[in-house]
Amino acid sequence: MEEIENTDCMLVVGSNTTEAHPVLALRMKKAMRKGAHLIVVDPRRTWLAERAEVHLQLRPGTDIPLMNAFAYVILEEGLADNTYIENLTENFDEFAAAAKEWPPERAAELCEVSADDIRKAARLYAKTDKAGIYYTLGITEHVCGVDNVRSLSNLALVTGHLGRESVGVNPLRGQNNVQGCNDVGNNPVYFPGYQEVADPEAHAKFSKVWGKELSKTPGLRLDQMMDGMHDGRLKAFYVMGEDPVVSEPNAKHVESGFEQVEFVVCQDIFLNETSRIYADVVLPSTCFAEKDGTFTNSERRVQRVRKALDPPGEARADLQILHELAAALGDDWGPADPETVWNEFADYSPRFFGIRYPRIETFGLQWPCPELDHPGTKFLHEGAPMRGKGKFYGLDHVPAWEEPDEDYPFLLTTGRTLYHYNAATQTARSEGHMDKQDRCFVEIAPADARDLGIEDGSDLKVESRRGVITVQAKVTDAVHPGVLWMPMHFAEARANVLTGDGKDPEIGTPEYKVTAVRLLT
Amino acid sequence: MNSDLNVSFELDGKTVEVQAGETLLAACRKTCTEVPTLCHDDRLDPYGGCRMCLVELEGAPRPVPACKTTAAKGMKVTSQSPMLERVRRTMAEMLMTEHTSGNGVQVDGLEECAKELGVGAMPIKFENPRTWEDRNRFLAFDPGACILCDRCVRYCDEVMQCTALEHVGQGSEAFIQPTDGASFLDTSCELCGGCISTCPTGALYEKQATAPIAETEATRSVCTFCGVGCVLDIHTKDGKVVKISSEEGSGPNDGHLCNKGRFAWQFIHHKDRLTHPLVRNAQGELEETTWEIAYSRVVEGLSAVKKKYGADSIGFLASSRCTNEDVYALQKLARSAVGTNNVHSCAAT
Amino acid sequence: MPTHKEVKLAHYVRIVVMDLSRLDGLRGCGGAGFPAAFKWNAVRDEPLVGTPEMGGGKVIVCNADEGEPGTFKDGWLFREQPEVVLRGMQRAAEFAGAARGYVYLRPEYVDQLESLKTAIASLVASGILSEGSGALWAGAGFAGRPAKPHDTGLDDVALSALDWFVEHGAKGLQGSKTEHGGLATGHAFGEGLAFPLTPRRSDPVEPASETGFAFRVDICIGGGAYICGEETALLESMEGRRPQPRHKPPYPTQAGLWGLPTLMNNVETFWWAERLLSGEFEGEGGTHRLYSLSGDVNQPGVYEAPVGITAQELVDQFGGGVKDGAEVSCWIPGGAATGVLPGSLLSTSLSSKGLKEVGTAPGTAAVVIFAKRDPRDVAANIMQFFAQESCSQCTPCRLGCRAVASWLSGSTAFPDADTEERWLESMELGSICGLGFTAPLVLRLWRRWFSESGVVV
Repeated sequence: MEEIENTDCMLVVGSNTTEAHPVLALRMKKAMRKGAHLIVVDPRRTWLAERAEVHLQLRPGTDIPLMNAFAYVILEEGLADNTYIENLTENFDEFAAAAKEWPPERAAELCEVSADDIRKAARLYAKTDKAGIYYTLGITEHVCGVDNVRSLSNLALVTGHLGRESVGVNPLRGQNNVQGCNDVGNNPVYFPGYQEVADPEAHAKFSKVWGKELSKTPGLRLDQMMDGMHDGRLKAFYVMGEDPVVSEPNAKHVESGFEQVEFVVCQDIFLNETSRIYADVVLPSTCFAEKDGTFTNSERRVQRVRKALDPPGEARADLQILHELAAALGDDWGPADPETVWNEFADYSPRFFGIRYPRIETFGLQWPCPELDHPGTKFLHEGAPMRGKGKFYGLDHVPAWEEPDEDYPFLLTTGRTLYHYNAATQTARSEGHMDKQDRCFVEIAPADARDLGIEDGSDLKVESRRGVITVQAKVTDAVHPGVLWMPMHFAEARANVLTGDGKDPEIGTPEYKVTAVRLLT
Repeated sequence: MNSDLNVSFELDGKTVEVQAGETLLAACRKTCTEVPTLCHDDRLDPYGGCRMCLVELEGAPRPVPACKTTAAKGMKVTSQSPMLERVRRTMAEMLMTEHTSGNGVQVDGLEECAKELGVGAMPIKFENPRTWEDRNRFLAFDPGACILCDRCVRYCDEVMQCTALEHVGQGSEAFIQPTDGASFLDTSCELCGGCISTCPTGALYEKQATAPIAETEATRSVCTFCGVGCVLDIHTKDGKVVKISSEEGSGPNDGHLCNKGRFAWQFIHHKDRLTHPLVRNAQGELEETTWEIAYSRVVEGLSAVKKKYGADSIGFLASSRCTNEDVYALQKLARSAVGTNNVHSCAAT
Repeated sequence: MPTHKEVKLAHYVRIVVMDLSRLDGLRGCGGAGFPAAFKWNAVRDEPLVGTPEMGGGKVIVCNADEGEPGTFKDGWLFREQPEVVLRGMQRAAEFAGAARGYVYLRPEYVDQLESLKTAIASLVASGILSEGSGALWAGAGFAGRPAKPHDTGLDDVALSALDWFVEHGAKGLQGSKTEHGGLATGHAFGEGLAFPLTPRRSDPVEPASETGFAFRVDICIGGGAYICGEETALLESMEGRRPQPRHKPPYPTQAGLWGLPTLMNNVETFWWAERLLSGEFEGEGGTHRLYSLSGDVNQPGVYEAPVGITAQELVDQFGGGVKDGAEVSCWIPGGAATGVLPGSLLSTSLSSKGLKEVGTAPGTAAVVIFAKRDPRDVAANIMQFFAQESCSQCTPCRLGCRAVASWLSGSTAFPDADTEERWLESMELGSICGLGFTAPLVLRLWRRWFSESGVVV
């Protein structure tokens, strides 16, 4: 992460970094102080956008045409890194053909930005040697989330901004252990360490390690589980530290799904909307300060979490609960010791083999780290892309799952704020944070507010085809007319009551970022 | 770019080599030469205000601040001499004369430094500096402990770029205040508490802290509020969190934290915490129970569903906030103990 | 520091080969007495960074913050002969190859602002200065935070200082204490004053019609504090930050305003340079000075007198003698920073050499005569002034001045002579700027001429 400081150009796409990743944003701020160029692509005028050299305030859901237009400019003006393209990439022609379809003027119209700004930004990014792309959920939480990411990697490939210090395509993880969760196999198609369930060798290996024949059927993704509750595929749910009723899109649909499930176990530190209504058993567990273990951050760095406190009352460490449950289910795993568990994971996951507790006592290590004396890996794709050749994709605009229309004329997009976190179960319990921001609001452009007679601070109903919530109006020119923005944190005004069923067909990430709504005063 | 080039110069009669651009203070630290400083923080631009780190530089008319002087080839620097010791002691004495002890919530670097140099306050009367109180619940100010080193203001300007603090007035009237004297809650302040973390004397301190820092035990861990993975220290006393801080140079965050990481820990001791297993009774309400009963209910429930619909009718969902070990165990529970690959977590991003 | 590509001088910036030997004896008249020609040569020899139209180039600054108590010659000059000073700046610009000049004017100088603006207008009309000259903006003071939260570009800093000033009116000035030098504190601006132009470093500079070369002079209204007259604090104020002196090196001649090579002289220095180089003054440089004579004399005023003159002669020949023929109890030889001398030393020559012998220096050549005042009161008053005017950046000046003031005014004392010596030494060796390292002189002079000799105790 310290490499951000040394970058000379930052292309920040769909990331309100100063609020969602405040400490990482400090590195960006430092780079700005050193004179780095800043380009922000965001439908909102965020703190960074206000200070950006170019702010492309695009219409949500039009990232691909915009990135194609970037590519158009880069190719048209001969700013591409031809040596890199020739030696280290494939499928360039398809990409070039797709980019040709999107001159900046055409993209400008769809994205509602200026063509000159697109050209200026594309040139800045392409001409600066140390230029990095940073993105978050503003890119991924769309029906075309995967293609959005590909459109960014296209840009990095075409300019050769990859595999060196301070460049690349850098996702900023929203939650502290998103990376680790996937690493250790919390995935329907991967065993721990990204070893595929479908791979017979991996299957045999883990069957042997765990001493029983494991299922060969790939599991259901989260979105499939949500649907599975309706179509009868899913009859029981074990939920550890989640509140799907609040956090998953189309909350009404999720709720009616839970109605049909026969058995629900929730393991958490607080009661939440899901456990309060649907849980048959609630197991009190521990927060991060009450247990030992590891987290893996956005830069794949495995770091030690240490126990500072005993859990309250009879609450038990999550690991202990799971081990005791396994034993009760007839699977004896031995003592619930975090280091032992980690070692079991690392022993059978080659990319993680070299990471062991004693080695990360003081500083965390970044995987891949295959050997016990391996120093860890600072950035991926060094020299050449990891998969051998970087693949270009020819991409085209994918309309949102639900575009605004006459009945629901506004486009609602959602995000995080600085003072709260996810469903705010923790921050809403801090009076000092609530002082700064105590209720849900929706940002609306002054022109729209005037047309509808909405006053700043007044109550407002936001309604989609799926539900309605009441929030406070915040009239601001941070959003364009026709676009609304709302934080996702507040349980009493759940943005997900409104969101729809759109999701990326490849990985199932829901489209939180585009919903058609109307306003009722 | 000549930043990789090394510069050699003479420090206390010995030749020292440092990277171009490094300060004399950095050089002194590298060579374990003791030079005190109060106003310097490696994460901020050098300021040179406290004058504790003065060193002699051949050819300069008077001593120069080591923190603010870049090492150059051929320099001859003396870091220890009777004169320097006298001046450093006097600087500490001046500051101590104005200083009143803080409340111990933070470490008082000035008192430590003065103790080391063996000086105390002089019986000279200085007027009390101006003060303020703010209605926010996190940050408080004790003017008597402030040495006007501007670290808080500079942190806010340079690192956060929020400019929520200002150094106003001159001479005896000078003091630090929230910009325009407004509450932190009403300004661009983001309540990150970075000012507290950089304050060398504890003049800015945490309102939430319940005990002096000296009485607490620190446990190093990792923040859970986003994917950056800030390393932090949880200070506890008698089984309660007193405060959370982070040490410079300790992790990807280099001692920086945001308002959530530093201050949002009340939830840990919140009355809503679950302290007993709960099971839903015949009336459909959740009621407290024992672990044995809870476990047997889980086993019963899962086994019944598995028997009736098969293992693949059971889904496991883990939060992306749990530890690697917890999540590993959960997927192992699903795959090994129950026999399904239905394991996933929220919004795989 | 960012490395800039060196660029050629723009075609409309003139470098005139000039014989500076006439300036040989001329020392800066702002208090420190630095040889004037040295700075001129230094700035000319600096490599050029950027061009004026890019906001680069070299810069001339006229320091008219005149804050040294007892000094009012610059104010007099700007009222009486602003054109001579401006021509001096223009000459310096031609010598050094600068296209921009700024006058940093003490905010209380309301009349002088008017005469300065008139003079600039007339020089523009006669084609000596570039079109657009005479724009105004306000430098930062100590009262509040002038810059916008996110200023990173220097252009914006100057701009936001102006915005801030317009918004806050005179608040920035009221916060500072500038009652000294026998001048009433006043404010340059009333309510509702609009700034006609916002001078920024990239504002256009056009060749002047008569000379054919560019030199544009704008005015920055000072931040209203004593320390604003310190050259680097002045630059900070102009750039829109708290006027805290910078660490030197780099010196302003190397990296001054906005990091550009900057030639900064006092008003009187430019005035002398112009008179010497134009031949209007036929004598040698540095043989005469403008003395600001005030206090208990019959005819206080600004007098041009030879440098070797004694205080007694100055009082008798120019000041019309001491008021009521009283005996002089004490006097200040060259502004507050030069300390207090007993009346018995009035026959001291006001030259560097003469004053050095009695332990002080000519300073700003501001002679203040006190007939009945208790010297200790005068000394205490000076130290209180310094204690108040310390910018509060460095420890020894901020606290040392307060301690000395507290002792001289009789409220508390140093416990012993050793402690006192250590504190004074630390101020002299450890301060950042001249305010801190010359302030101990007041006490040292007091020790030498009063407490020990027993003239007055």
